[in-house]
Amino acid sequence: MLDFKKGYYADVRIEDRADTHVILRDGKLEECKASRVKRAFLRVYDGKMWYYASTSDTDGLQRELDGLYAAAQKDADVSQDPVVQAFEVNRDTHLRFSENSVCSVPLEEKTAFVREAAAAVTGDEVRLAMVRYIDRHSDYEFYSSKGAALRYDFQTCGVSVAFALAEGENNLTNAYQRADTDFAALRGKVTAAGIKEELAENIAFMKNAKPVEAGEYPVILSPMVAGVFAHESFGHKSEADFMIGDETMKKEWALGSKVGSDILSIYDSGLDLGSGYVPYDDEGTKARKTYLIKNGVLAGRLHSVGTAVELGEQPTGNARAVSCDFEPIVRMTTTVIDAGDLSKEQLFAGVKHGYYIKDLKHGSGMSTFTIAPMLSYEIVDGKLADPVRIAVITGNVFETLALVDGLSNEKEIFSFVTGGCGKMEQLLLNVGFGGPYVRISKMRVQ
Amino acid sequence: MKYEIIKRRETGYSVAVAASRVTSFRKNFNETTTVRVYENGCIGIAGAVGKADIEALKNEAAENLKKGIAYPCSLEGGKVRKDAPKGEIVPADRIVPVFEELLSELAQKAPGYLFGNKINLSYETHTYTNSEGTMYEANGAELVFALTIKDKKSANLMDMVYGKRAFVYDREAVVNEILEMLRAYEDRVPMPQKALPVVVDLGMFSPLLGDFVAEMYGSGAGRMAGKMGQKVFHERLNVLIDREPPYTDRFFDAEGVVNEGGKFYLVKDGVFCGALTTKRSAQLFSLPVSGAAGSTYDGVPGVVFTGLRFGNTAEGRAAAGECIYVSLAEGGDMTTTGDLGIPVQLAFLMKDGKFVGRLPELMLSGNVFDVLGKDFVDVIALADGDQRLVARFGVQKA
Repeated sequence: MLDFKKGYYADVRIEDRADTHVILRDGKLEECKASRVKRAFLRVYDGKMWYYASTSDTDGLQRELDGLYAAAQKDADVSQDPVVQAFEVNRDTHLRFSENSVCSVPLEEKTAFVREAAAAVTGDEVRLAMVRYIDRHSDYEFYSSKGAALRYDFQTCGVSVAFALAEGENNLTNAYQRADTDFAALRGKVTAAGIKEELAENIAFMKNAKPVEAGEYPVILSPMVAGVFAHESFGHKSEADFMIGDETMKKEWALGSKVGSDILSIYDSGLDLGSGYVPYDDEGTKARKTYLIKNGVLAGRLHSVGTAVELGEQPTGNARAVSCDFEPIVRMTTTVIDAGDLSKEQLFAGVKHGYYIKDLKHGSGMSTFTIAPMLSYEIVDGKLADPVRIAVITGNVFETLALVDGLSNEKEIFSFVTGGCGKMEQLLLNVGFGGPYVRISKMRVQ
Repeated sequence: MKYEIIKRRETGYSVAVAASRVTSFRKNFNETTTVRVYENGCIGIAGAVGKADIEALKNEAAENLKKGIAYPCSLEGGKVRKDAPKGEIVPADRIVPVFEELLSELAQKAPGYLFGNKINLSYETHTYTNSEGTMYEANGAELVFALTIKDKKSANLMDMVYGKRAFVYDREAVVNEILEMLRAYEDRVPMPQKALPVVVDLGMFSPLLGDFVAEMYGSGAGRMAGKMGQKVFHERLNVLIDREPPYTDRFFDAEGVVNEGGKFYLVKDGVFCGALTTKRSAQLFSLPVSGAAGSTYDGVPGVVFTGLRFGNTAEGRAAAGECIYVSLAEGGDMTTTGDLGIPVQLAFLMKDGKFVGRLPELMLSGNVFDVLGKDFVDVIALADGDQRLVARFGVQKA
């Protein structure tokens, strides 16, 4: 038991994390490891400033905590501080993955699974094939000086099939990924037929893709790309730490402002099972669903306890750290565009000449939103036509949100085991995203 | 049994900045140990976070040989080099007041702006020893400013970024550099009527540098496929791994490889002449070992870009003459044929090294082989190992 001192707020987060990485490159085993590391992150707040420490010596937590107390200044009234008052005091044990932990699957079985997937990556055009199995199981504990006591877990597993293709002067590098929270379910998702189908599309794309003429065109985003669009175009702008001390931002981002087309609704939720599942955030706040945009109107934003107090709003369970090396900051969990009312066919039928972005390399969003597409296709008279090579598609964020003019009536939510969200010094945070097919009447294509 | 041991100790300090004031102070201490053993053409690895029992790790690594991960064993013997530890850049107990003073000065001199994000200070020691008697120790210390700057009148998340890696703390230089940028930001200038060279960060070429990795090159895919030995770029363009200060403090890579003079050329005088390799990929593709290996504390070595830089051809910003200086460009990429699309969120018109004013948002275009070929102008050296490329791009108002 930790001895929390009076006159300070303090909390301690402990992560007992197990990871597996198996990599097969061109059929040869290149990596095969199972790691387990336990680390802790400690915070002390004295009403003026936060003091943090991280340690792998989880037997010495009291010593670390006392070191932080020594650096801080005691405040007998700290319990009256609005930030301290706003911390939730949850006491719960929520171990969702103890029965199907990936740690109980033998490494040999995971390696055999990789070999099965790798066997499907064949063809004259395949120059390089790297198949990775990655899993993670984390058991968390959280304790605060206000009495919070939590135990919960997180789990993910997935397979990434990366390939480099070449034929003559043509070449292409891409990857196919499937992830789940359950190993058996993942095995059902990763099939030889699925890999071969993906490979065949990429080979055809490499052979036939044409350059585009730069210009402004209607664009349809796949559910995967739409998810990145939601995350990059608006999700980051909804992270309230960007507004601290900034009166202009508070006025510009007043709840109730019109920020997108009437059909557009975007939410973030730590409740959805997948790579953005966060039942409690790293300040012990319980997860909830937060609408960022509802019917085109600014409906909410993402908060830590500190930003919620600063803006006079409620914490949303979005204070997250990428690991126990870092302090929690405001981050997304699973960010999703709500489905609309058009069938996929109706959505495409509305485009005389434009482009369909099926998948992507990366996206980013500041004042200008950018996606670097991979597989992309011309749309002619509402039908998919030739594959095209596009370096980037871009648009002003707010103009683009207002130009969303069609949404399909089914959405998909995606999970991942490679990549992740980067913000400032904290990179590759596990998040999820998704949406329906999204039609935007005009974007710059280059 | 042959073995190698790599140890890394890092002490990091970080202050978080919000609304131009220090809001938190963090101290991290990380210590990792890696043991690799080699036998019968295979590698066995074990690693520990925190205190480590070397003999136990050797036994665990030996056990992991059974996984059958093929890896060549070529350990150099009898080499010894130990670099001196670096001194404190800012005393640990003065970090918060020192940066509070900096932010206070900035808030006073630039009242229309909010400063945010991070200032990080880190000290690292890496050691490499092996069963053949080689023993290396490298010590590094660096101060990294990653400050976002927000115009109080703007509705953007951030309007500028002040990024700087330094080995000494020079408050006056930091303040002056930031204020120069702010003065230029406030003075909007129109798009120049004539075509000007563009100064860009070298990071935008990382998709191309990925094609220099041995596995990609050797596969016959990627943009560099089939080009080894050919003059692909401008004759004054050099690309190299340079593991000497100021580019990196760590003179050896994760496999204990030390290049002659600390350098390994990937492009020499415009000719593609080397790939990024580990000992394994070098053997697999019959390429030279490049000293580009990195690894996690418990993982098999793989290629990293540590110390990768372009060869400088000019000194200081003034060498770029009248030009467009790209300060912030997020989200660009290139197609498989090398066609570039680079959105520029913030660019300045620059004359003789001085910022003249802020240009509208831009879009840069071109082909990477032209930009580094016929359209290449210079690579200019800035302070502390920082560099910028000067080249001709297609420039359009966004």
